[in-house]
Amino acid sequence: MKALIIISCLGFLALLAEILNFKKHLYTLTLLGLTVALGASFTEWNSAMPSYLNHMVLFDNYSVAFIGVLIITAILWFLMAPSFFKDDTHTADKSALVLFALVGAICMVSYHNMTMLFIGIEILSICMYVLAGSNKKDLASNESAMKYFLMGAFATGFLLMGIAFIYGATASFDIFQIKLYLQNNPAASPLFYTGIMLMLIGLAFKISAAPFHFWAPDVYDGAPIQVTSFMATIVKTAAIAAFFKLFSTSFAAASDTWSTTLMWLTAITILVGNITAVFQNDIKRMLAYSGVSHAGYLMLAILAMNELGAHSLVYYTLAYSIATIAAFAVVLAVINAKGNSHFDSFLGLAKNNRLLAVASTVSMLSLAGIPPLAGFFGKYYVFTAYLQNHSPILVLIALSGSAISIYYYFRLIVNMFKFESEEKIALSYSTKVLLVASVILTILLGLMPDLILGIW
Amino acid sequence: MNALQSVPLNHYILLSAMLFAIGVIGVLVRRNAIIIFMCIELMLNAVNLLMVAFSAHHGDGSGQVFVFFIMAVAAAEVAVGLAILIMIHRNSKTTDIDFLNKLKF
Repeated sequence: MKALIIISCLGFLALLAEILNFKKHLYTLTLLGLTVALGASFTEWNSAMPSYLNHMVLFDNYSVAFIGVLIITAILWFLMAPSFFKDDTHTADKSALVLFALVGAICMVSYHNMTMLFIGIEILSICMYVLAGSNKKDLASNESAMKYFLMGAFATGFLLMGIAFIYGATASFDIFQIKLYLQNNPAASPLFYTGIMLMLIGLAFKISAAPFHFWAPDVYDGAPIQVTSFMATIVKTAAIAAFFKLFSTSFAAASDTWSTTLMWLTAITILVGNITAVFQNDIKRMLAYSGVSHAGYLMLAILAMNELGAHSLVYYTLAYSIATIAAFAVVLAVINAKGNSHFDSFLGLAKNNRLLAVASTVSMLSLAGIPPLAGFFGKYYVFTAYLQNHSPILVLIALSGSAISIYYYFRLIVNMFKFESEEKIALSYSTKVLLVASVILTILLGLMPDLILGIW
Repeated sequence: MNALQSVPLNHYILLSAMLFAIGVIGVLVRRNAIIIFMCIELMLNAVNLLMVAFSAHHGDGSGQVFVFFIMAVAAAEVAVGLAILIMIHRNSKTTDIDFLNKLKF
C-alpha cells in the first residue's frame, strides 16, 4: 500500500513539475522516489494486516514480491531511458504517465477484487496507449498506438464480459468469495465456465500469448524503443502476475475446465513465438517474439498452480525483465549511432565497445537460458513447478522451443563478434550504470537463486 | 412487481450476448476506426447491461457500482483513442485502418 501511495504522489508531483518549474530535477526526484517506494514496500513483507479498502487490495507476500520486481524494473528502466524525457517539452507529462502506468501495474499485482483488477489494467493500458504514440510526428508510432489501443480495448471487452458472467454466477467480485462459491457449488453454473473462458481470452491478449499475440510485434516495432522495453517488461510482469493470481486463487478448483485450453495456448505460444523469432531481421521484432515465447514459459507456472509456481514466477519475471531491459539499452545505443536496429547494424561492434558486447552477450545468454545465468534457473524452477503435478509433454515442447531460441539469441552475439568494425558508440553515464548493474544482477541471481526463492 | 422486473433474467443474458457479438463482429469486419470505436463501446455497454441485470437479480449493489467504473473508464479510453485518431488523421488524412499497414516484416 505504501508503494502504491508513494508512486501515485510521485505521479502527481511529476504533473506539477511543469507548473512549479522543477523539471530539471524531476528525473533525479523520480529515481529517488522509486527507491523510497521500494524500501517502503519491503517493510510490508509478512505484514499482519495486508488487506486495505474493504478487501479491495491485498498486500500479501506474493504481491509485495511482485511490487519489488516491478519497482526494480522501473528503476532500471529509468536508468535506460533518460533520453526519452530530454528531447521535447513533454518531460513532465511523460514522467507522470510512466509513473501512473506503474501504479496500474501495482494495482494489477495486488488486487483482491475484480474491480481493482479492471481498474489496474485500465490505468496501465491507457497510459501505455498514450506513451506508445508519444512520437507524434512519426507514422509508425501513430500506427503502433492505434493498434495497441484497438487490441487493448477489444481485450478489455472480453475481460469485462467474463467478469460479468462470473458475477452473475457468484454474486461477488471478491476473488476469495469466488473461490468459496466454487467450493460450495462443485457443479457451478454454465455462466461461470463461460466467464472463465472469456477472462482467459482477455488476459491472453494482455500477456500476448499466441494466438492472441499478433498485435505485439507491430506495437513493439512502432512505439518509441523506451516504451517498447516498458511494455516488454513491466506490462508483461503485471499481466502475468494478475493472470496467475486469478487462476490460482479463484478458478483453481475448476482447473479441469480451463487447464486443457491453457495447455494448448502454452504450447502454441512457445512454438509460434520461438519459430517466428528465427525469421526476424530486426532486433526489436525479434525481442517482441522472444517476449511472446517467454509468456509461454510463464504460463507453465500458471498451470503448475503450486507454491513453487508462484515463487518461480517472481524469479523468472525478474530475470527476464533485467535481461530484456539490458538488451533494449544496447539496441537503443545502436539505434542512436546507426539509425536502425537491423541485425547487420551489430556487425563487429564487439571490438571497440566492450561493455555493450558483454552486456548484450550476458542478457542474450540469460534469455536463452544458459547456465549459470538467471534465465536458466528461471526456466528450471518453472519447469520443476510444472512437473510436480503434470506430465512432461509440455516441458518437452518448452525445451525444444528453448533450443530453437538459442539460434536467434546467438545470432546477435555472433554478429557482434564476427567482423571487426572500428566504430565506437558513445554511452551515457546512466546507460553504463544500467549495463553494469544488469550484468551483475543476472550473474548474481544465477549463482544465488536463493536471493529470491529463499525469502519465503 | 413492475413491468421491467417481470422480464426473466435469461432475456437479459441473451440480449447482452447478442449486443456483445454484434460489437465483436463489428470490430473484426469494419475498416473505419471510428466505427470500430463504436463497436467497442457496444461491447462495453453489453457488459454494463448484463452487470445491471445480474445486480438486480442478486439484489447486490456492487454490480451497479462496477458499471459506473466501466462507464468512467470507457470515457477515458475513448478520449485517448480519439486523440490517437486525430494524430493519425493529421499525419495521413485518413481514418481507414487499412492505411495502417506499414509495420510488418
